[in-house]
Amino acid sequence: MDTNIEYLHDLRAELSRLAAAEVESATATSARRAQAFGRDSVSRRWRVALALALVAAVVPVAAFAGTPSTGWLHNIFRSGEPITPPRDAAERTFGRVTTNHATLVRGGSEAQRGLLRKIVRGVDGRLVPIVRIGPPPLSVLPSSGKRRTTAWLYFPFPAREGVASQLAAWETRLVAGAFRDGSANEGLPRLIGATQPYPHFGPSSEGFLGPANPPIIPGNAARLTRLLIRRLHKMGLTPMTIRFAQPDGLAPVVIARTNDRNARLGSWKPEGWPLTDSRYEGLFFEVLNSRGAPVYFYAHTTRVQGGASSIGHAPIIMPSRGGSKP
Amino acid sequence: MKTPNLRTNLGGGLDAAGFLALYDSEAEVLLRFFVRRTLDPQVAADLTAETFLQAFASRARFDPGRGEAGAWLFGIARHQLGSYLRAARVEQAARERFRVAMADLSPADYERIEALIDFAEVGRLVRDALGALDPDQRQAVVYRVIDALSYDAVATRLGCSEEAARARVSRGLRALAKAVAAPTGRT
Repeated sequence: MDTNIEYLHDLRAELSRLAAAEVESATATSARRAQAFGRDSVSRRWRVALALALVAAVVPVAAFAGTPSTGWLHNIFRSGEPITPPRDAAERTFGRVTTNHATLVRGGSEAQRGLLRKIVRGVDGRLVPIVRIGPPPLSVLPSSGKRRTTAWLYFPFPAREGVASQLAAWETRLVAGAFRDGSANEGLPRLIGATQPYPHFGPSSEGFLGPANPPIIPGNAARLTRLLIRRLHKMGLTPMTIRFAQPDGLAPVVIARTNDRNARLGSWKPEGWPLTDSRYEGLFFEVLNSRGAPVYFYAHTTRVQGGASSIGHAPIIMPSRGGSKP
Repeated sequence: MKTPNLRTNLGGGLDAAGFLALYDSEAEVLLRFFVRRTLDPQVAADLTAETFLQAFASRARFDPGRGEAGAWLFGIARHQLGSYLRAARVEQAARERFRVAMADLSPADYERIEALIDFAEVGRLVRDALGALDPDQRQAVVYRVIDALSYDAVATRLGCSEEAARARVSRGLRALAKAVAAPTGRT
């Protein structure tokens, strides 16, 4: 396309993404149909024979790996691979889509965009689809001199509801924290805050202190996964999802299930924490009951501290700069 | 402008590659179409995004036998423009449906899109159209739009009722809008 208007290039990228997602979904559907056709075309006798052969193969494997309910966990434990989702908040909101969700980065200088692109590659672009670098809002910093030497991040996507809003807010803070400290390290304009949408009171601005450069450790995903599984078991929880946002260091998203039949949102609290080491980038911790409904969640980011805790069916982030650490 | 080599599905509809080819050939033309009619780059950008997403949603219904894809796209665009002019706000149903959040225009884009308007040409058209108006309508438009008088004051100066003043301004503006839009077609 022969135009120098960035907006048109961004719009084209969005349309390409939609087209790719549609093609992928159509491919998956036709694969499922082909599979179903294949199943139908196998005669009943062959199907019985196949089932018997499968049972014969699976029984020794199950015996080797442990009980059927824990065998897969033991395998994960041994290989050190992260547990991949059943369903997390992003997926419950948007469905599972496997195409690459690159976050759009707008505004700022080339160096700022480069740094921010590196950071947003480590977060989930489904919840944070777009971020713009600009000067701070006039209401926050009216001085034109200071506005030129400082930066602000704008997350102009629609506000999410429920736990997805918590996860989106958590990811924006991960991005903002890593960008603030990265900017300081590279001598770029100082990031002093961000504006993002909230479900009930619209776009809100939050100022950040620092740069603080807390001692974030690079971390090892496999080792941290094993640690988290052990901690969750000690807490009497069954791990369901452990994945990592990685704006710079690691920030686990942990979803676990409780067998407490009386658990409900606002009445259930965990005994202990799956992660107590605040040298990681942060933690998003969600607990579901046996029906898959959220009964508890907690979000924390280490660089830009802000607590976010449960209670209520439409939870609201509390932008406290003090926050608390797990 | 004839739309080049669009791939269509058998039995009609545009496939993904065909749709992106349509975008490549028409995006800037459509943006220019909107900005010349709204004189507002941000509104024009929003209308462009909404039009393409509406077209994306309904591309299976495009029938190449009934005309070229560009004409079909501009049919959707005119509908969007009409809605905007009636409601004074851009629809966002398609953007919401596809969860597409376009950022506001950057200052550089704002200027680039404004450059598409070609104010000299628009000014000439408006001057010509104003000159061609009935003298009562012209005076009513000048009092109301340029001098920003209330309808009450316009009526007093023209020596007519307030309803008649409103009607003259309205007819005059409609004629101006037609003169600005008509000769440029899709551009």
